[in-house]
Amino acid sequence: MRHAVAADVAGEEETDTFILWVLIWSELAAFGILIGAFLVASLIDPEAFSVARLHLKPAIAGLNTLVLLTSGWQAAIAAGKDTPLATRRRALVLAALLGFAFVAIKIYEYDTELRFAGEAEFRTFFELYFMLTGFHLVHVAFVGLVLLVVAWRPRPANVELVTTLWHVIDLVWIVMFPILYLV
Amino acid sequence: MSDSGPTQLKKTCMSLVVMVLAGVLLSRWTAEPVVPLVLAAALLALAVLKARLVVLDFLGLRAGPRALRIGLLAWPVLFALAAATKALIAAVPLGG
Repeated sequence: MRHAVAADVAGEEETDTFILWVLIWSELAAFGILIGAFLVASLIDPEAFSVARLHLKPAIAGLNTLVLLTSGWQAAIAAGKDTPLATRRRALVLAALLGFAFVAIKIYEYDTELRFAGEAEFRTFFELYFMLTGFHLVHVAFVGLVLLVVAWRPRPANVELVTTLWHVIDLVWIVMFPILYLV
Repeated sequence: MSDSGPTQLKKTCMSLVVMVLAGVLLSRWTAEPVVPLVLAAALLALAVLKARLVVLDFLGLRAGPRALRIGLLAWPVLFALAAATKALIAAVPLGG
């Protein structure tokens, strides 16, 4: 009987992991389509995109990259196999708070950029920019909240699921950052 | 679950911080709105290296399933190559 219960639990965890990776790859596909659209649009109208990019704030985005990667570091500590419960909880809360700091900094950055978004020649650039970064921002805010919920009751399986998703959000930002701001 | 110990994770985080700072400094190298091709390649290479560290150390896939590791490492490479190609096409005007 005990073996049957253990097998059921293992089976459930396997299903959870499978669903998680299906979700992650669908997210990566969605972000991939948006990044692809941005690259194609920038190829069609390189001049407008180059000039529009001058209105962005790469230094603020760089700071935000540091914030998100530090958050990812805390998430990785939380997911460590031998991490004590108190450390796990603290690391999850820190990861979430750094995620919220990312959101706050990004909103400040939006505030400095919004005034240029209405200009007709930059419309395509800013539509794609706000769609991509906004979609990412919603992910950071939502999964940040989930990190806090998991920190309250940090079951190892839940910690693994939420931190995996968090690292993928990191990964997406790492790819987006140079494409949107620098190259 | 991540197999990397706290010391390794700290080293990874420090490496990532250095790469982000290097990227921001590199991007300020020129006053031109269009980043020169070599600079673009360097910035994209840094992004791929950062993504690699996140996948291998933060996600703990260094010893994880091979297909998953390759897939996740290929995703940033694909977009870095696409961005590099775009920079190349933009730098070398096609046609007459």
